[in-house]
Amino acid sequence: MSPGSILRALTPWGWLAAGVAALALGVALLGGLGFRWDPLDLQQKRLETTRTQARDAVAVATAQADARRLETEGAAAQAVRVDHYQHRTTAVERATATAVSQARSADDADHPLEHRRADRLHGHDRELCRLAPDLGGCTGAADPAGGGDATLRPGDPAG
Amino acid sequence: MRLILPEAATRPCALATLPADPTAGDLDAAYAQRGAQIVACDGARRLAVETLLAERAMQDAQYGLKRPPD
Repeated sequence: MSPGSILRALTPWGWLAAGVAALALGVALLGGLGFRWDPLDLQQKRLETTRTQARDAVAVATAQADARRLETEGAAAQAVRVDHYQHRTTAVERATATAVSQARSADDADHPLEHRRADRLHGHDRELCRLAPDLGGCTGAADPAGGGDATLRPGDPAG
Repeated sequence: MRLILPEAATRPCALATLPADPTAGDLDAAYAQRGAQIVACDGARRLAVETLLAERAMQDAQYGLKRPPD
């Protein structure tokens, strides 16, 4: 059977099948040779998108690492500040306890204040508490900062 | 980013007052007590302000910004 007789024997469907087979063979051969049909440059765009995503991921990871480092450094510095504050507060309380003890044990510690003087001081206390009622030691105040009893003896007239 | 602020720095300051029938000892003690309260309250104030400034610095560093002076 010669090629001419084969061609003459083909029906229209046979021609179609032969054309498809030839096209598939051509595409396979060209693909094997490295030829790529990408008129819209989609592969390059996909590659660029992947690179952008990778850069973004690196940037996010770097930012998170920087944030963690800043938090760690900030917490350490804050611990130093709090430690300094607590040391100072303790020293102040100690010094004040000594001063108050000496005041209580002075020779004239039990001498009552003259009435007009006491009234004047009470009046000032009341005025301060009226202006700043939240201060510790004033009526209605919460637990004050600074430690120690704000009222030195029972019977505080500050309210 | 937040730093932990000690609870003492959030409380009101204290004010020592004289008792009803004050003596000279009460007055001396109140004088000493008020001085201590000023120092303690200023320490708490300083701690609160430094904490705020440190938080701002951390935020500026995080965002790579240079905050204009207040």
